[in-house]
Amino acid sequence: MLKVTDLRKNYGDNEVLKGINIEIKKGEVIAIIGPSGSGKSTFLRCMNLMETPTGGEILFKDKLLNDPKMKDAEIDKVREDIGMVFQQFNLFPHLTVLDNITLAPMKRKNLSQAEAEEIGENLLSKVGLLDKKDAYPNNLSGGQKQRVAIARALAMNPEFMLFDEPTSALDPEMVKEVLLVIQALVEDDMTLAIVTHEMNFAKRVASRVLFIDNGVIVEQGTPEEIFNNPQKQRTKEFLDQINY
Amino acid sequence: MGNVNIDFGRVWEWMPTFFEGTLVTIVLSLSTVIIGSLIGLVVVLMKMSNVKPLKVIADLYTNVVRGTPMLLQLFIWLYGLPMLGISFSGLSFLGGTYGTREFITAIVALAINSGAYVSEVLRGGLEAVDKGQTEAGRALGLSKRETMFSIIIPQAIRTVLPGLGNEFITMIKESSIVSTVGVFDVMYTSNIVKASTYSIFEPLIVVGVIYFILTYSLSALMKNLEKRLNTYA
Repeated sequence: MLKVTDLRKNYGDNEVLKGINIEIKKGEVIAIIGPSGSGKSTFLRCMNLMETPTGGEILFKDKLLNDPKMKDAEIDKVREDIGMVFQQFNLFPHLTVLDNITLAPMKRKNLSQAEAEEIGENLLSKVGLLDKKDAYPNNLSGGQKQRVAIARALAMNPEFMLFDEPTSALDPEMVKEVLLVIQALVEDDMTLAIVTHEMNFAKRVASRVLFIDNGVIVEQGTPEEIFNNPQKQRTKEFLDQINY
Repeated sequence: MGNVNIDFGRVWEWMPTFFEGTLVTIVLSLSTVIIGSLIGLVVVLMKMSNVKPLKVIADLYTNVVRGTPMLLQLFIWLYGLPMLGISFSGLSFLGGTYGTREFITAIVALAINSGAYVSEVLRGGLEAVDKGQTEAGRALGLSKRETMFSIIIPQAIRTVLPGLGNEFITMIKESSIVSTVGVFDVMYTSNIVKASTYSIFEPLIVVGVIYFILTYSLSALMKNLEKRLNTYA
């Protein structure tokens, strides 16, 4: 589904990604772990071109995404198929919960309001927030906001989802409700990549874990391999340092 | 003080004239702010576009307008540019007050002046919207334009409202300079009344009170509107 070859990203002289190679297959659940500043979020954000890579290739369904000839409209089209969930939720505060979800399907997929609302309401009941459909985001808790943000991304019916530290901005008691929603997606065979500090969650749901440090994938493998039997010294150090 | 004899009775009968002038001031500043806002919107979109020449033109416009006196700009539109063949003719069907060359040119000059300030107010408002909002829109597949019009501008309106209100208040006051070129605004009425009654002090006070009532009620109105738009709920 997605193939990344020698992906590089610089900010000025600062080399954040130093050649990342990975192939993600349909149905895979990729957990990306690593210390802060390692480049893991930048890597995730390159996959839907939120960041423009400075080098390398990203192929999504055999289409080269970071082709300089790629038109803005084509990039928009690709992004419809790649959902993204942010650490800070980024819900639209001027729209109700339901309108947050229906905006993009109505604009991009030419759905009628009724059609979009039906999809929206279905998704809201899936994330357990149908009763909040007329509320504004500022009246929701962090966990509820993130569940709405997930529903909003799902409304475009994406084939691949990116989660950028979806629980890092949450109070501890709200982490679980969001992780359960993501877990339900995994059970529905969604292909996804998640940058996370929730190691137990990664262990439980990931099909593959990437440990990124200093702009490269240091080590990757099944959760079993990475967490119980890491091969690289750097991976061991990192896992020893964190508490989970 | 001794020989000054203040008597508002003498100017009382001129009230209809003051009101006529007040109406001119309101029409002038209102049309200026409306046209100025449209200019400001176009200019801010030029400033935020990726097309370099548009950016340069927009920046030049803002800097020149903000860096020179409005009175000078008015004189240039009214007396300077006509020498180069650029002028606005009167629109006689609008009548002897609103249809004069001076009134029409004053609106153009003031609106172009206002547009520069409005564009800065709008830019501030658009930039104040969290970057994550743009990212969320674009990540859903919305185009730059769709994101701007469905997500950014609706949120920016709330932030720019006080600035636009201030611009309106400024225009009510600053539009008084058109009295120097013979536009019959409320400031100009003080000249008329002065010439007819030989009172200097009283007409100025009446005009001052009128300006104050206009600006004070407008700012109260804006405060009210802001309060109502302040919360997302």
